Amino acid sequence: MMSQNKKNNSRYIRYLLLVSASLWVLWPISIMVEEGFRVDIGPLFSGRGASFVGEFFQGQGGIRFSTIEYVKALRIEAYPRLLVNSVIIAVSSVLVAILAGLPAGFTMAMYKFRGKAFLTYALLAMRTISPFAVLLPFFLIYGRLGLFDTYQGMAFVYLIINLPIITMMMRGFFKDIPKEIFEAAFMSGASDSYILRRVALPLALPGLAAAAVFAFVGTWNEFFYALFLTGTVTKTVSRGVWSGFSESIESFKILEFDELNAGGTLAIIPAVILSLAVQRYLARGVTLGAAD
Amino acid sequence: MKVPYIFLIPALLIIFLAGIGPVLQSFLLSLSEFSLSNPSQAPVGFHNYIALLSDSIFWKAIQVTVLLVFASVFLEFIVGIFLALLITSSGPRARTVFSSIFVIPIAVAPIVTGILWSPNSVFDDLNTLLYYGLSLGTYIDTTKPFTYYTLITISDAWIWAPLLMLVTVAVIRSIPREQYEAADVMGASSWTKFQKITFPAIIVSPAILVTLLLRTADAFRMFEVPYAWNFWLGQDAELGASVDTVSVLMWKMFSSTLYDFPIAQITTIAIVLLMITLSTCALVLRRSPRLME
Repeated sequence: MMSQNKKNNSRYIRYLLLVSASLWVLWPISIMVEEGFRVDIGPLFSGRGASFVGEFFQGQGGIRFSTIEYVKALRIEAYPRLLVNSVIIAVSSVLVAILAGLPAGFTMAMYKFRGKAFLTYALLAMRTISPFAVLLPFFLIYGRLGLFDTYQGMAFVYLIINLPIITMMMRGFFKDIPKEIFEAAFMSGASDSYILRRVALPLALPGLAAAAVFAFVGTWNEFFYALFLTGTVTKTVSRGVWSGFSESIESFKILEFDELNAGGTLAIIPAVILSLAVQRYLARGVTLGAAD
Repeated sequence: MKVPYIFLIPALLIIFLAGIGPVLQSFLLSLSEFSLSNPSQAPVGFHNYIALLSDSIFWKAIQVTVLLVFASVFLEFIVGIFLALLITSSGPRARTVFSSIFVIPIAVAPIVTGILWSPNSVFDDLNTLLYYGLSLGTYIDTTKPFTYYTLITISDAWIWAPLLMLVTVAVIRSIPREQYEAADVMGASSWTKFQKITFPAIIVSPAILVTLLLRTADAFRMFEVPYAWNFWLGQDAELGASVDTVSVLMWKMFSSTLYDFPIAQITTIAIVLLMITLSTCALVLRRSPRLME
């Protein structure tokens, strides 16, 4: 009887902890979502300090619930354009990364060769490199070649992030396939490209999808290169969220906090959904398989 | 068997064009004189590096960065273990639901995290609760250095603790069940089991070490959250402000017209930062058992 009680107690404590840990994760997000729904209509008491968690003090600050910021973001202003830009850049960059990274990942999983350590190191370094170490050359060269603020230029820059992710994740997925399957294929004299296309790829297809989705989310969320290398044409969501998304994208604009929150909410929705779909592989994606 | 080197060519090409090439050019730029008013690109050897060593603003940025890096990686480690213990001790259904919730921050763009944990959003409601709601007469002053360093640390840990959780869960799962059974037979408490079995296994795990190293390398280039805080604190025009990490410092030198667009100086700092990254990556490669197979 006693031990049953104790067991129940520890279960309640565990659930209490689980719920509080979820609050730690979700609380800031829920505030952002909620702030996006607010609109400040009282210039006299415009201090947001007058609002209260339980919504008791809402009237004091002159703050009303409204979907206007979301509607404004999606209909009136240039937000849909930012979404399209992000999708174009991320998809094309990930596709190029797959074309280059898939065979490289396959070779790294199957063979030992000279320079493999260097290749692994280079990919790892590319993933962790400070963007400033490559930014100025890109800035100067893009200016000269007219690639500044173009889709091609941005897709190429994002290969810095996407190539290591695709190559190293695919290397991991190919390694997960039992060796015997490949041995049989190699014995029968099949070529490497045949084995990659007909044996390895079908088995690693879910992995490829996960790697592509993970790389897509990484590009979608990337802020740094977008801040420096995009302009009025190719501005992406994560940059637009920060610098405002009015019709004339480059016009100086004071940050409107409710707007910022509405834009932020819309930006994280696809990223969160896609990441949850591949959550099993998140650790492999972030660490490039180093922590497998 | 013959290695299909041709399979590596596209990837190598991209590595050279997008990675190694630009890095080498950055290095060359750092060895020259190059700014808006003096675009001669005359070689000056390591002069920029020597000048950097005696630059108090740079050292301050290094201090801020190191402080934030170690504080946030440590906090991520602790919170990650805590979350992992919660996950592994729950039933299968709770495990699925809560681990899905816990990994959400990894998907949130870092710049959005800067908005999420801004003084205006989170601390405004909390302060109202403290000040008006509970009538405590106190509030969290986000303009105090201790407060905002803590908040930036928490923001970073908020994003990346779930990663440590995922890795730690895998490590805990790989501990042989017999060890816990033996401990149960001897009547060990949960705390003793954690102390004697789980925690030592986590500490010696190469996966955890490698993840912490990678997080350290990542955190050294920390940009988005301190960048956002520059605006929250109104320090965005001030070189060497109190939330200037090395990356934020470079951004200010780059974007402000006040500083003569000092390309050579910026690349010098970038190369120094790169050295830290490259050496951490070398450690990762050496310590990761699976990466070199």
